[in-house]
Amino acid sequence: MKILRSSEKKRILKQLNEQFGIEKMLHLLLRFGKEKIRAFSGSLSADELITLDTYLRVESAGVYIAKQQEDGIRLTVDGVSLFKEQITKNILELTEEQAQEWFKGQDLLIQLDKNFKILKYKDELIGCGKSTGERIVNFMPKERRIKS
Amino acid sequence: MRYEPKPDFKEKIDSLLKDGEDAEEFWKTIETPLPKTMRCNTLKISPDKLKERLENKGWKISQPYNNKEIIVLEGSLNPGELGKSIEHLLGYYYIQEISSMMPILALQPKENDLLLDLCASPGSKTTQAAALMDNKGTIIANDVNIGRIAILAANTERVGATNIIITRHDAVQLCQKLKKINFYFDKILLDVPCSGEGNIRSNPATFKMWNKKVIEKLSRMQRKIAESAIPLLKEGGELIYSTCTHSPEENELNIQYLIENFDLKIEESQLPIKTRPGLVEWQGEKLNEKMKYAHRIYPQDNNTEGFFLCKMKKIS
Repeated sequence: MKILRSSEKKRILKQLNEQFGIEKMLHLLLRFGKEKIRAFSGSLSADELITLDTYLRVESAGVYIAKQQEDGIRLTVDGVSLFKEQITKNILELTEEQAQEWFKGQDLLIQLDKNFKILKYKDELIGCGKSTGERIVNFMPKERRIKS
Repeated sequence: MRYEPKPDFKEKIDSLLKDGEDAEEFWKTIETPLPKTMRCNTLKISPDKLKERLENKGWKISQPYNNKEIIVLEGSLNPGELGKSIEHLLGYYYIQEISSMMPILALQPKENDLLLDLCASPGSKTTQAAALMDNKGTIIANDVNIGRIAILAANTERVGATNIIITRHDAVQLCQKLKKINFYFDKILLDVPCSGEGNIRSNPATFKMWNKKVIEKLSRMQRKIAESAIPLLKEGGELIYSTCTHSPEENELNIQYLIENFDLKIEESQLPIKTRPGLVEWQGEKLNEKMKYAHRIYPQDNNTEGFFLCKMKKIS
């Protein structure tokens, strides 16, 4: 577990703003592994968190919100949920049939510009996918998919 | 598969309930399926909005208690539908049995509390606490098993609980380590592993596994966990000891041991469902009179599983 410095947090927020319109983030950001960004809202200070991790090895903290990739930053389904009031850019509205496919973990055959897309069904933001130009790649974790 | 209760188990339940009609009602109730129940996740949606959404889907639901977050599904759904709905996938509700919601309602964690949940998986009570704390304060949620940790993590993520830290340790060892680094808690939840007599409706195999030796062994382990956790409680801090079992050996007798050996006193707590007082006497042994403030939850009283909980406060 690594606690991100404010300069790193600013860089991530800038990226989230450019891609999705997210403007503020009150959480402490933590990095697990090389790419996984988690948001923590608890009352423990950074020092207390480090102490805990040193002596106890923290398995996880807060919510996994995003993954930093070479081609940009990808929000997780829980990251989308956490920032749903702020997301204004790159939103793709789905039909009921497309939303059902998405929840089953299937890619969507939709041709769009190559970019990360926030998927919207009715009033809900239901996830984030990567448009390859030919399809929207589905990153819904297996345990969260609806089984056919 | 159908299992029959062992004679010793039947005898124990009958002696706990005393009244023959009451015991008969107990045995009748545990033969019936459990109602499907859920808890509204107020981190994401209000109980009124959730009710409206679920009713718009055609679900028949009720909020029969003085707590709108507790939702009972009145009609029937297709198999698995409760866990497949968009509202569930987005974390608007948590499928949770009503009696298991009671420990956190008794503990009432506040926004800035530091809370330790020692045996946390699958996370129903942990996420309920996070919602009551409005994602403020901090919860350290621990479990020993890696598979159970994965379930705990998935559930905390789904409900958007951002104030939880997950650790994987044996509960006793975790407490020792926390003491070494001077971590003290406002609240502690000890929802300890138990013989599961209260879960017979959802897990009838408990009948088969039940025996007196297992209860003795579990009782010793429960005491050990509690003994390790109590020193981590701040002065004036509060603790809930809970089990999903009816055995006094795993409940009141352990509480009696704890209040005799630590600076703890039993506290009153209010719950929205019908409960019965803890035992003040068992098999000739007189127990602390405040044990009546503990809660015994029997299946026949609210059409739930069985449960026990007791709230205690650290005096000094």
